[in-house]
Amino acid sequence: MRILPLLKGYRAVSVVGTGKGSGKTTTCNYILAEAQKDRRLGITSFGLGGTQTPLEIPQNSLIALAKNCEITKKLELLDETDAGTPWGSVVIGRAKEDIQAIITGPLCLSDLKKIKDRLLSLGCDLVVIDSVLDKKSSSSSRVCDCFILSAGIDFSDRDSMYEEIQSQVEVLSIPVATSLPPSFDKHYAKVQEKWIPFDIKDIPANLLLEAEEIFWPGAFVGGSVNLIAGWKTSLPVIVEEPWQLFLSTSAWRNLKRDGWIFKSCFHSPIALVTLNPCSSSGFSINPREFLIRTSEMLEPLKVINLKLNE
Amino acid sequence: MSDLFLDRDTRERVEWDYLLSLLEVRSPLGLQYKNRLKPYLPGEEKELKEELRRSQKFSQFISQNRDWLHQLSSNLQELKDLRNSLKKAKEGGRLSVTELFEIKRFLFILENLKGLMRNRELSWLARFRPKGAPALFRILNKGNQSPQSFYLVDEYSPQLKKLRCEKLELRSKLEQEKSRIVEELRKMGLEHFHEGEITLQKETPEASKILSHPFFYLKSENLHSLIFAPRLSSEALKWSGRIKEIEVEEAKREKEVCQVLSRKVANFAESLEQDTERVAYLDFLLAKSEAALNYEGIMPQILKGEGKTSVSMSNGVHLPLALRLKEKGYRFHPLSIRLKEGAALLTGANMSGKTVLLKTVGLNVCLAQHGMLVPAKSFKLRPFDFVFFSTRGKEQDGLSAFGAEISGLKRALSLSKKRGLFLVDELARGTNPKEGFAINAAILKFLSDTKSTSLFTSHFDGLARVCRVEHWQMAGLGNISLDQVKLLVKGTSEDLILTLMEYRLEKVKKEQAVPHDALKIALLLGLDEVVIELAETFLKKV
Repeated sequence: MRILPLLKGYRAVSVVGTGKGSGKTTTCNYILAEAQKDRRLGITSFGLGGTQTPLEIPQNSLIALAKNCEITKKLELLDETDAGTPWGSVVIGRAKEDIQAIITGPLCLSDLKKIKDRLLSLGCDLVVIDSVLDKKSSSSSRVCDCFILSAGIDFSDRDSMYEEIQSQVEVLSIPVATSLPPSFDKHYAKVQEKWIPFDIKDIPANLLLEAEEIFWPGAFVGGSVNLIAGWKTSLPVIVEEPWQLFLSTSAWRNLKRDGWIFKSCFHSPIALVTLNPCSSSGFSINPREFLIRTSEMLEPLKVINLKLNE
Repeated sequence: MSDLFLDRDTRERVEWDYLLSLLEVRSPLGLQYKNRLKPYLPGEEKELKEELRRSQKFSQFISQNRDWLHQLSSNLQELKDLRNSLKKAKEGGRLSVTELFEIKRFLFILENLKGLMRNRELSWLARFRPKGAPALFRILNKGNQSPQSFYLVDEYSPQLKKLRCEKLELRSKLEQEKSRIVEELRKMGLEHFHEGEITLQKETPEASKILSHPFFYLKSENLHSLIFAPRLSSEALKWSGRIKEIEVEEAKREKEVCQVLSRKVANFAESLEQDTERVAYLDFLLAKSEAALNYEGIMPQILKGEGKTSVSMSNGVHLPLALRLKEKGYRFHPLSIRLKEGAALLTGANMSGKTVLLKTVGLNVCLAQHGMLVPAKSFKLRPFDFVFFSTRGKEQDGLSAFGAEISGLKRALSLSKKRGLFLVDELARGTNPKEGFAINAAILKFLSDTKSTSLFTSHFDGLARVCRVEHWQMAGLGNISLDQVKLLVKGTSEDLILTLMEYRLEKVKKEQAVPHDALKIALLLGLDEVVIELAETFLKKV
């Protein structure tokens, strides 16, 4: 099973995970191994990546990493950026040989975007971004054209694990809104095709009745649910990007049950879901059963188990 | 910035920090230069004039050479502060590969800047042209690398080259071994050898087959899967072991090369430190010249030696306030005044612009003494040792507002033997009028006998006469009566104040009462007319 054909036409791919040990870096390594012969690769990590499995970086790939990372001497250093990390600013270099390494990349989304752009301007055909833990913000359309969700099994029980994977996929693939507010820094309600800004702590009564859609700036978290409780349900709530929905599985289920609809202004599509049937603590589940059940659950999304090549 | 020249409160009151924020430097070096900016003091008039001349010439040059400006700007943006690395090299420390890379990039940018500064029209700036270190650049640019990149190339050490060649050869052999393994797996119908291992589900025919295969061994297992790793030939194991040894040796050699290169850097460190200062200045010069172009600054005339005039400002503008007014759609009314050594009094209606005049004088003196062009039609200045601005502020350090005001003044008066500029805004307005008058008179009198220049604002009647000091007055609402204001006012209107107020300064030649326009202003601000009329009645009784 090859990943690269599924990434055809994309120039930047992020690999995000459901949690620690979900197989993000392993997924990156599969892409790097496949792509090394026919694509000029750019690699970075959103934060400290590959702490369990090192990245296997092919010779001649471009890497963006903090300047105090040990492997910088294996690189022909090309550029130094303004992106800061506790390990020094981020530099870009060309691997002079095949390298195995744990690398630290930029820590904030705006820096990640600049670095992705710089890697592309230096001639990369494909930029691969490894993310940390369960950080989903690197799935932002600002930094990637598509992303891969790596799902692991670090959950309390098997049923909640499937439910968690399904809700994460649902959240990250909410539909795109057809009409956008004039800015993304305040709350807006759409009334008769017009976007009206409002104060969330003092919502005008007419908006509660007449709003057709509302735009929610920044993150929509568990507590935000209480603030929209007064609105009529089934009202579409629009966020800037899907990853800005920080909701637990139960909160997501409850909102869906109550008829709430979520949309995003922008999004990157999920290219595929990869599975890791072994947890970091050594616990494992039947890989075939995991693959079949997840594939059925997430149909029509492509789901693969990299280790078993299925 | 010298705290003695401009204390924290004065800085805040004249909005010096806001003004500095308008100067957009490109590099951390320029920023550091800006943060430690020092004024030119009395005795440094010649240097100040030179600096101002440079600002003016550079402003003119960049206004006519936009492409050049763009190139300079993009090079300055790439500059990093490498003084720590240079210091480390000078102290015999070993620079890391990234530090050497940064130094090489710095040298590359210096060469670009050198080229840009060779422009014939900039010969007067030759003193600030970076010298660069082409010899060091050549050392750091060995081998087949691009001028902007850096790698510890084989050319730095024959031993390093030998080790790398051997490693490459062994890796290639291992690669062949890996191909052999992949081929074996393919024969078994398996194609997923990744990260040096192959995972198979338990109790599958493939797993049974590979278990007995001599090329593989069971590395680990979990409840559902078996993880196999290739059994390397004894030769391949040797190669693998040798690669590890080489890597250790290679790291040692790389360190040696870094040490040698660091010593080379140390030889040029002092000259590079001087270049760092030059480019920092260049960055700041660009920032202030660009800003001056935006605010249409003029070159102040610096007066030297003894003379009556201390400051003479014609159509001066307080830049931060002018920008805020512009945002609201209003225009700043330029102000003019001439101050002589000694003290002067400024009176005027409330909101007539007395404080703004003090701030304008204070800020523009600061600009001029820091070598920057001034937003005015003309500006003459005899440099001061310090600028002091006193106003009724907030309670601080356990003192009441009056206490804080007097405490600040006490500190400044202790410097009265120096040539200072005292800008004092309605001193002692918070205490009883009789004593307030006396304090004002005493300090005015005291300062009029020093080398300093002072400008006081006040609403007290008769101060100028008692102290025999020069008296200026803002025109304000002097040309309109209270009855006329009553006719004009239809509700609250701050805009109406701006329309009626004359922000013009007049010199008072004979004794003249200070303007009594408070009731007019209150009316314009919307205070009930009944209250105004009651106030008028009381006023007549006083």
